[in-house]
Amino acid sequence: MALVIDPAGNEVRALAQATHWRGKRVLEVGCGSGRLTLRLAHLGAARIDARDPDAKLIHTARKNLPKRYAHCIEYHFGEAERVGHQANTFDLVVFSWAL
Amino acid sequence: MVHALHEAHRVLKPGGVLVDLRPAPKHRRVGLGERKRWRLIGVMREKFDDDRAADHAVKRVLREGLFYPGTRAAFEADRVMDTMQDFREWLDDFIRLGKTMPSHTWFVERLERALKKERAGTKIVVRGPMMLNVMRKLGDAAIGSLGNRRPPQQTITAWSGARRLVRSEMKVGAAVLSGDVAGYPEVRSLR
Repeated sequence: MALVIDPAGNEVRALAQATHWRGKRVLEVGCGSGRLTLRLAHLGAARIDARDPDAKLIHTARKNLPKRYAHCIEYHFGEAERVGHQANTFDLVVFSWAL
Repeated sequence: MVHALHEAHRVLKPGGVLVDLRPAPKHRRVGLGERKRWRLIGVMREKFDDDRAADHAVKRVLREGLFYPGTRAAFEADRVMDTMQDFREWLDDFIRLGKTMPSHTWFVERLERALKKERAGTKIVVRGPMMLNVMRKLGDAAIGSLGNRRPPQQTITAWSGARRLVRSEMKVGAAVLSGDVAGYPEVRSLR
């Protein structure tokens, strides 16, 4: 599928302006195939736990994960209501089309 | 939605940031050609029930005092596609991600007819704003001290990066204008 999302880069600019990402531990809810996850890693997030309730999309995301981000991104299958992490774990939580 | 926000509040560190990124509740505009050559073909008729439900969920957790509002931004995020097949797949994904919509067969046919008249290589571009809502988690101590007051909220609206409007909503200022300064001791001391 030849689909280019936001070629002008407005999304990354808005995210970069919204808060500080460098060195932060991030939970991304609704990561889908990992498009936004890679952008968050590019913004400097130290570690990203990305999850989506669609197992097929998680499989795609894992397959498409570049080696340079393999150390900082982990994809999980799961619902937003039960993240399964301890309290007070993340610096940032991103709902990506998930609300 | 509220349960997901409560879970986010639980796993966030005190002072942590919640970012809510989703399409703004505006109808997507679909056209042909990129940038200045973009020509509108039609406007989609998606429904916004889910968006309203999400807004209510956000308002509820703000009312509960779990978060306080921070920056809000809106920006254009084009979806550029090469073929009609790409558009159909995008539309399927759009619906799968939760957009409730009546049948858009008529729309797909109209777009297909228009695309046939264009020269080869013409792109299909879907336009519509995205919105980004940033909230900060309040610690237990902060919730108690804040009471019913809210910190200032900043709204940033950026359309295609061309126009930018920054507006600060000062709740204390609003209270001064309305004369209702009972809950704001710092305002009383200025008078």
